[in-house]
Amino acid sequence: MGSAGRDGVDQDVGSGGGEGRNAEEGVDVEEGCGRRGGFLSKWEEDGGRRPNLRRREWAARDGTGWWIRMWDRDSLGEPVRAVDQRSSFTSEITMGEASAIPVAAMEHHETMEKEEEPRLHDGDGGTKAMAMAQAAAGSSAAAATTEEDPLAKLKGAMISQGAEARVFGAQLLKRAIVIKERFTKRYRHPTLDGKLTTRRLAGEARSMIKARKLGVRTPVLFGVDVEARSLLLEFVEGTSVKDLLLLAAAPPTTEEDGGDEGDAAAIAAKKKKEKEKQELIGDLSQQIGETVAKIHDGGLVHGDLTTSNMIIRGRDGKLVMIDFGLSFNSTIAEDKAVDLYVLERAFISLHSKLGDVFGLVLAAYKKSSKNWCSVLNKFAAVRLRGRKRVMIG
Amino acid sequence: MATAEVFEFESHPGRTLSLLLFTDVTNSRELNTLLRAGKLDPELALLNAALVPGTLPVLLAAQKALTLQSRKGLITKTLHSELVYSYSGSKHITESLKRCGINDEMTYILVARFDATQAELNAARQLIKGTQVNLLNLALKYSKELITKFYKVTPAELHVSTLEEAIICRIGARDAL
Repeated sequence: MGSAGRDGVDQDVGSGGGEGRNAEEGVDVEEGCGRRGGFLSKWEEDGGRRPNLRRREWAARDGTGWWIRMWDRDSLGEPVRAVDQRSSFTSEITMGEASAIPVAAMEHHETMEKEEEPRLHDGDGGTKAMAMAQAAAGSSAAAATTEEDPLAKLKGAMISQGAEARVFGAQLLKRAIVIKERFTKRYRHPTLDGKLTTRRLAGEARSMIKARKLGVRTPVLFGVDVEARSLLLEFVEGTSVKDLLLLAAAPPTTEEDGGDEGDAAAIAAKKKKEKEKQELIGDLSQQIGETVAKIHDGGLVHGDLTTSNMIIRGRDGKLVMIDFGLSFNSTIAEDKAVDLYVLERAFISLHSKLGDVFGLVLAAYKKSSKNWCSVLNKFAAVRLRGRKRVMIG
Repeated sequence: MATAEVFEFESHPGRTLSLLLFTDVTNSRELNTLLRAGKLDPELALLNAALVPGTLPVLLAAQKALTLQSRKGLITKTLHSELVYSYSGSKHITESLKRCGINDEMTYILVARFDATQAELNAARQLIKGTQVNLLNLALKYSKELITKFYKVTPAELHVSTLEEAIICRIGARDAL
């Protein structure tokens, strides 16, 4: 077990041996534990692990820089929440201190672990830590039921569900709105989960406002409800770019082919359809390129650029950008290049039938963006290597 | 005499908001004194109507105030002052009340009251010495300069959004900023 997988983590911890210590001393840690990457990726990779193993633990970085301990799965294969004494440390850590605390906390944990081990397997609220965690969860649940009432009255039918949130239709002040409610992820420690969700919610709202200020069309934000983990957004009437392009790519219906193929009328109709399709593609790619250019020039990276996150508004045919949940502020060309790369992959996987639509998008991006040169240079490099940076050094 | 418009809330059934719009108000100094002493009877929310391009932003601010009241509790002293505070989209209480509320020289005022009875509305009409006009005037008499300055609306934003929408976004996002 070399330090091959641990570079990212070591840098963050600051004290060189911290991570290595955890990995090698006394704790039975699996190869690759503690390396950079979210908790989820570790679980997925370990899909083949046997259940009922002696509990393994490692410090995983939950994508936000927090150090958390993850226990193994229980006999049903469900990840068991980390409810050890160390959790109380993580709950006190603020983002800035994250790099300083883990080493000390991990040390403390190592000593605590032996006592905790038998108790945790009880599965009931026997331990102090577990009771604490449950109390926290309980009170937040109780609070949620009473506090959620004003919002609960509004909620209508569910429109869709994604990886992070559910979207419900609703009506507010006689306008059609959408309530985007983020899930709780119960495999996370409750305090951590709460803070993370709040942070993401606030980030999404802020990014949306920032995008508006840059001249990007977004849904109108009606409210942010921290207790209910929800965003209240305008319901944008229209179809997504993805649906429009899929429709355009769909094979022609038989009624057009019916009859004599040499028929002039049939040929003319086909040509007209083709022309309309090309016009549509041209218009869409122009709007997409312009919008992404505006976002990037403003120092914002969308984070999830796909054609399903772009809606063409019915009333004026303009492009509206949605879902800023993964967006962040960045001025470096690399992040913008990765953003474009994600969009390219989306086009390739969904719309390759229509030809090189992404090329048109890039052309529009070039025309509208001030920093296109550095971004597109980086983009060429990203295309070769893929999304993640090379992990050497 | 124009009638007050009464609005309801889907999230708070049974609660209403009544709006009255006044121009050529002469006693704003007096109203301000009463307001600060807490002796305004009936209790009213007094907004600088030049900042109000339409009713929707006011309704949203009112809905936020109601939600806050039923949950954690109000940030300002009364529900009506909460409305004025929410309307600003800013977290700074004193500044918000100063900007969105009335000052001594104001002549164009929007009056709001929650769950008002006819008697209370009549009392309000007596209290404010000005001409009551129809709410449709809001769309005509607002001050674009004041709104863009106060809410920091960029020209790029105005390309893609109306002033109402810009204000609504800021009101809505206050808790996240």
